[in-house]
Amino acid sequence: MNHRVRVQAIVMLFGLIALVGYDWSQLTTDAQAIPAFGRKYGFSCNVCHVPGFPKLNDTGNLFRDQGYQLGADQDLPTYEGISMGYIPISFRTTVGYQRASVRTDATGVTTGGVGFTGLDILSFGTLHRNIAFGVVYTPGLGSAGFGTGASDSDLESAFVRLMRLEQFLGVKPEPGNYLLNLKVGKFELDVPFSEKRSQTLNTPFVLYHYLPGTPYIATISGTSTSSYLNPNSFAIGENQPGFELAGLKKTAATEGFFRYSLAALTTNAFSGPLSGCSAGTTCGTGGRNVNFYGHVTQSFGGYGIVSGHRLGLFGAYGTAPTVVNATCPTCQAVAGSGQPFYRIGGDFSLTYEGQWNLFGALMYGNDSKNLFASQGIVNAQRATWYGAFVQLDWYPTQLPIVHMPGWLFSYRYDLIRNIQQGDPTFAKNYNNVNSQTFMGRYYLHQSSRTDIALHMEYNFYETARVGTRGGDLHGQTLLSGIDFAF
Amino acid sequence: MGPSRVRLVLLSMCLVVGSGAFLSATLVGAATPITRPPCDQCEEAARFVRLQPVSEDSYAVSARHFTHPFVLPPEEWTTLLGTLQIQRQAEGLLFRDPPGPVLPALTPEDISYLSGALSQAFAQAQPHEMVVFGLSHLNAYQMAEITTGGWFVEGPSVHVVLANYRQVVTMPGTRWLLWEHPLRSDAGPRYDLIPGHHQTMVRESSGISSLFSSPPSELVIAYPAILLGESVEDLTRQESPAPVVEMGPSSIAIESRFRVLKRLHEQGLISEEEYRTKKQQLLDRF
Repeated sequence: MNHRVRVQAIVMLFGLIALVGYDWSQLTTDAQAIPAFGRKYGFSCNVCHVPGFPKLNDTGNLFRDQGYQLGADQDLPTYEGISMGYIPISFRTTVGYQRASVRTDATGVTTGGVGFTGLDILSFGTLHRNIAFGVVYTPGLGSAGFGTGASDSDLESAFVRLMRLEQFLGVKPEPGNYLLNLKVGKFELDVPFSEKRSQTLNTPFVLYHYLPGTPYIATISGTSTSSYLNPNSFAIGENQPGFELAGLKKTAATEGFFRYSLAALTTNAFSGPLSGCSAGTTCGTGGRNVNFYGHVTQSFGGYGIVSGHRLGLFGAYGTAPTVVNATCPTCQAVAGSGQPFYRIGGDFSLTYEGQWNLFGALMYGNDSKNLFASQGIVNAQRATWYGAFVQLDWYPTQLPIVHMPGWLFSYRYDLIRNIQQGDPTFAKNYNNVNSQTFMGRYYLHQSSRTDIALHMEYNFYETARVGTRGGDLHGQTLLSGIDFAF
Repeated sequence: MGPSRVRLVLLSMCLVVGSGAFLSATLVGAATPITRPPCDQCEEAARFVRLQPVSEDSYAVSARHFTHPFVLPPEEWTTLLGTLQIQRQAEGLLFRDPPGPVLPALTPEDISYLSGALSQAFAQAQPHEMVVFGLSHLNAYQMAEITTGGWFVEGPSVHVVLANYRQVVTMPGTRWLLWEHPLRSDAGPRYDLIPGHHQTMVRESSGISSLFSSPPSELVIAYPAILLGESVEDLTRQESPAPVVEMGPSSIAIESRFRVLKRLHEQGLISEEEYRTKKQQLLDRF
């Protein structure tokens, strides 16, 4: 090895070490990959995922829609050929370095350090033919995340799904069609593009979580940004307890699939800002109210993620309690005090040559006037807004010039535009959001047992006029490291 | 975007792309090989046999010089292909599964196709060319299972490299990759070729890549012995005529053996003395 080559090799190795020890954020999203299925069926990860999991490809999406079944004896937990190596539990975390900074009103804070994104313990599968289940547990950790302190444990998801109930209505099941499926428990809604399987670990889909009156970044170094009370804490991006009726049908005319999901939900959170809540107390707002969510999609020429295209419509309607339970402030709020809100939107997904996926969604939101009037806001009015995102994913068969497979690159633009604030004293553009995310992942290794991916994600965002002195908020996060699942 | 932010993004991008490039170039990096089909039926939608220069892919055989062209009729390829056996590797960390049963590696349909195609391909192969192949079948779940690898001949040995065996592929990009790079293992082999009589395994570690995946399974077949249905020792035994050699169920007729023996002699793979000794042994069996 001559001197120049040796120097280049050393520089590259230092680059790798620097990468592993470089930068990582606080807005981490929970994301899932389930190597247990790889172990069960003897598949490598790219059978169900695009390169650099966790994004599902067409096969993976269909497998999920069909209740984690391929229609074979192997689906059953009682299958005698199931191997000892199959453990129906998977783990996932990301280790590396995160750097985050946020500034407003000429002040700010920057943090950085080596850490991890938390830990997911996942178990999905079948209990019997046409009975699926899922459990996601995040243990409480004494030193969670990137120096963000301890975290609470949570059962993020727990559900049972009864598949092909149409047969009890006299409809004979057809191969590939799952017309009537009932899910009970707590689960991720059928949002346009699953956040749990998004490869952007550090950057949520903003419109999935946006709430009028509550800034995208709620606190900076313990200091709250400006906000106004909104008792509605419903967000379609949060796992919700309830029932879901869903179905999947092949459509010969489009060579694609029709999908629907209709969900009746109780609540997604048991806390929120409410007037009448004494200082230092987190008062309950959830429960006793039923919210509804629905999503329908039609694809053409495939499922619409790797092949073909897809169009969809989605919406939610519900009421949010507005009155604190005086006898138990931390309990659920008073029944019958709910005031309405709704969301409605559309989504699309376009593919090109099995390597490009352009997808996005546009959603309009409306929180009714009485939600804000109930909180004592003078001259309260309904809050209306719309949010959108568009994302371009590229999973090249081989990277040009260097001819390397196993890469995934993404760019996403998220925005929120407020049309009218619930509190008229706030500017119309208060809490408008612009967020841009760049991401690159490389499949370091995959097998029927494990996934390992190098990950780099950079996000910068701006939120208008949320500073305590009315300034704009600017933030950026950088996450670099290794994402792995077993 | 301010200058510091630009620097931060560029630095991060460089680190990820550079590190990925370093690792993936070490592991797999290779342009699409320039290949040529040796026959009309050698390039089909669900299977192929091609000639590919060894320098065109990452499998570490580029320093070798092959005994090509190589003439072997289809029926003798059928005999060789029928001896290939496969076994699923032992897997598992906490609860380790035992290896799977030893099974024939190829279906009769695959053997029939490969026999003809390999015969034609090797007849045209140059010393710097490997014969690569790919086979695709639909499994019980209607998913494509792809088997790929390569062949070459060195002296009295046929080598077969198995890069992927019944690898389930659902992504069009992955299928393209395996079809164009048949010597590249997609997710590490989970099956091994199992050496039978007159066969030995070669497994070489190739630097950092061995940290992340097993090298392809390579089997060396002493084809003269298999085609003659006898042990290698018999070929070179100089003493008195050997006792009757036990014939295996796959042995070919003596007439065919004479033809094989004559061709081996003509190709210089056995010496004049070995030829005469072996010929006499065959004559003694009448």
